[in-house]
Amino acid sequence: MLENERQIAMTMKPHRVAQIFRARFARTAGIVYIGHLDLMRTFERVCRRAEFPILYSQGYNPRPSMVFALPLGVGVATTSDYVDIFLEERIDAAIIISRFNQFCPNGLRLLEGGYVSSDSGSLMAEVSAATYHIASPNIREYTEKLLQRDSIMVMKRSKGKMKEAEIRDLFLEVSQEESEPHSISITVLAGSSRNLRPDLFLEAMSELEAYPSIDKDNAMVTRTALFMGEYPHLEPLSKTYS
Amino acid sequence: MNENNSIHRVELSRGDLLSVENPARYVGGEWGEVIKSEMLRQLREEGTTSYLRFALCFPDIYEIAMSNLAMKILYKILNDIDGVACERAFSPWKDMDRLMRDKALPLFTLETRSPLNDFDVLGFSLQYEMCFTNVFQMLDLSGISFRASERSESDPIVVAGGPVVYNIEPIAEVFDLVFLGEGEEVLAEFMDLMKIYKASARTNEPMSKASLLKEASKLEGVYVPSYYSMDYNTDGTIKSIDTLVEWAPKSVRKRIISNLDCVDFPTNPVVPHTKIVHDRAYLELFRGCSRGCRFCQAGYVYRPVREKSIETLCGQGYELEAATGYDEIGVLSLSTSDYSSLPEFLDIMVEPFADRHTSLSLPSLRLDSFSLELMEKVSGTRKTGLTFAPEAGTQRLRDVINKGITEEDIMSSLELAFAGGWQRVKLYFMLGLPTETMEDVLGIAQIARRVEKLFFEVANREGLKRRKPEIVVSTSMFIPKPFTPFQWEAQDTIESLRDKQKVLAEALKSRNIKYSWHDLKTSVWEALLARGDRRLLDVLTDGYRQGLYFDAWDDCFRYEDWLRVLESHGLSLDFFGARSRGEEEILPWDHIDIGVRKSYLFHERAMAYQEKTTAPCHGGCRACGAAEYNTGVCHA
Ligand code: SF4
Repeated sequence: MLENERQIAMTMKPHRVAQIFRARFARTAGIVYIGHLDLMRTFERVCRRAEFPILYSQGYNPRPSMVFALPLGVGVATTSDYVDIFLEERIDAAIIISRFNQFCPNGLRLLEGGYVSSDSGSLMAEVSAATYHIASPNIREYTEKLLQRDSIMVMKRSKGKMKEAEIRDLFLEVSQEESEPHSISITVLAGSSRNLRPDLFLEAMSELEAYPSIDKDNAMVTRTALFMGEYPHLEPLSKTYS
Repeated sequence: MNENNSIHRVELSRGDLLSVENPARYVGGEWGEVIKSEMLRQLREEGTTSYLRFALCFPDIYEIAMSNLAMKILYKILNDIDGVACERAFSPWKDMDRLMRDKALPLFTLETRSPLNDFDVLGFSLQYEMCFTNVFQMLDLSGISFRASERSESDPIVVAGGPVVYNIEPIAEVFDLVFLGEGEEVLAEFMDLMKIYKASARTNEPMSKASLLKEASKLEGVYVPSYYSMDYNTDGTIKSIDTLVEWAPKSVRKRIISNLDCVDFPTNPVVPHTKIVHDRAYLELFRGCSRGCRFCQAGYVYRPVREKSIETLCGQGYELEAATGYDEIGVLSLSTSDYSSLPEFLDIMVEPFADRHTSLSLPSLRLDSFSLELMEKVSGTRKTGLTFAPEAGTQRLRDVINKGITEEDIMSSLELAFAGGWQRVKLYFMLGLPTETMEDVLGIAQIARRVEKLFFEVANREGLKRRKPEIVVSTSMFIPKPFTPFQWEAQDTIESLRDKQKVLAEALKSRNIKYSWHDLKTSVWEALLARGDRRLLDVLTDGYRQGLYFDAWDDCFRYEDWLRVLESHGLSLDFFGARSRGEEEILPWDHIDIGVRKSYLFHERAMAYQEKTTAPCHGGCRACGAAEYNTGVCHA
């Protein structure tokens, strides 16, 4: 009886068109040490506390609809990541940002954002490249040496098994700041098809170039940009809403 | 990560954090965390602070500690006091423990990463006996001596509270003082004393720890272990419990909150970043339970029953949901169905919560047609498993333990549930209860079989063909606990329990029934700790030194090693466990007063042996003694 009523109520619910708010966010401090699932849960709770009219997924166990551009590894900070938040109605971007920041834990922050049309491509599928800033002693010299190789083979976990993989062709660009002798920025392929995780890069350096493992473990890694488009015509994801 | 270099801070590198399981356990910074900025300023600028620094310690890992309601309550109560800064510290898991020892890093609080030695008070919340050795771990990692008598005036004051402190004797001498009962009021009073104590340290006449304890011992609910000594007979039983100072009361009475509407409840608790064991917000309905199950310590030590008013409850429920962002609110009490305004409460809460995609979870619900409808309402279309705890297999034995649930109750509610589409049922029982015979053990199988048969009958009748029930029977080993009518009972032996398990497993064989049981060795050790006396402290510290801790974790608990340590101290397991005590015997907790009289417990024990039940006290007072608190159900 009860169940039938609920079914009827569900089908009567007017079909809503989602308003997709694409936000750029940063994370620093202690909260960098949580995994992707925990980060998603944290975002959900912030949105609930901020009382955004979030759209929930249908089905057995409805969840707030949210899509992240690219999972962030444990220990990786970011100054430029993206999330799509699906809302039932449009709310002013400035209000979303300020309310989110009011209700979010230390270290997490929405920086900017805007609405994207609901027929624009999925955020995850758009991502093609990422830039990581890595601060660690002598990282420049070692990176140079590593990238002189024609082939960089590393052991990579895929579907539970360790497999050897070639990563040399995942590197797109390397840059460095004069003022920071012990840091480097690498731009690499990213996304669901081909992706280089920064820890794999550090791992390769330690395996192949004998980069000291204590430095490898303590390297400060920050994702500083996410791009769409094909190299060399990369465009920042923020293009999609601005 | 912090710019305040002048603040004494335990530094962990990125490599350290990434080398351990779930580093989120150690970083703090969660929503709802409280850091007193004025205290930070003082520390930074003056290197010292006028704030009373209280480290709230839980001797288990983050995910367990953060699931505990008492922790949330105390964190709020303490931080709401002006001039008090309460921070959290938990047991680091083995990987972090090793790392800290290797690098000589002290244990720290999550809020400011300060070492525990920097605090004025370390307050341990003790929820289960098996965590005792982790108290040593936390003190050890902080370089603090285990025994109160070995600590100096400059060491932190180490205190404890929680449900196991009603018999804290095995580790009583660790603590300067112990809070018996509910902490909200007495902790605030103690903090007032601490402020005087701390302020006096800056004067010419600093107050001594001894005088602090003397003042504190005047507060109701404060037990100072060093004021009591225990003398033993040659057979190991207690000869006398003596007071060592003239101002020590003969017995120390637990403290309770008379009106739950008048104390603050944490509606804005810390919301962990990472998934914890009970990942939901908690709403407390009432304290105490009037059913009087004779094996249940909580049923006696929390007396009398005191309810929160529905107004308070609903207000707190809304606040909690809004402030935390949790999508599940769990109600908490010893027996949800006994809350007098439960239907009204649910009428008010369920719909607005559902609109916000928030669910209510209702554990310890007695099942009847009303509650089934309820469960459907609160959990939507999800048909999760149903749980029953008949505890014993025959009506005779259920009468002995005063578990007021009949087989017919179970069958009639299951009939409704099966017809409504439920198919998963969990049945909880205890083995080794006083007076138990094989007939009682086989009675468990009979119930499970009846449930199985009932399912198919209902399925046929309702045309639910080809469906199968999933029945799980789970047994645990009965553990006699202090302050229950069974506190004098002998615990069954492992050998006898194994036989019973074997017989039961045989009788339960069916494709639709799964049988699971708790580890017996853990239960035997828990029984020893539960009724232990002060002679166990040497055993426990000795075992800890040999690497025995995290006993609450099955894969860490090393029973044989513990037995060896116990025997090396000339003590035997059977003395504490498999021995029944006489009425005249002095029990290690006889100087503790929970309000319920020992004579009442003994009377209840006699009733048990006569297989006579005692009705819940909301139908009429049984004169247990708790009426002296002048509140709750006793005065309804
Ligand atoms: S004094 Fe009476 S009413 Fe109060 S808890 Fe005891 S039996 Fe129940």
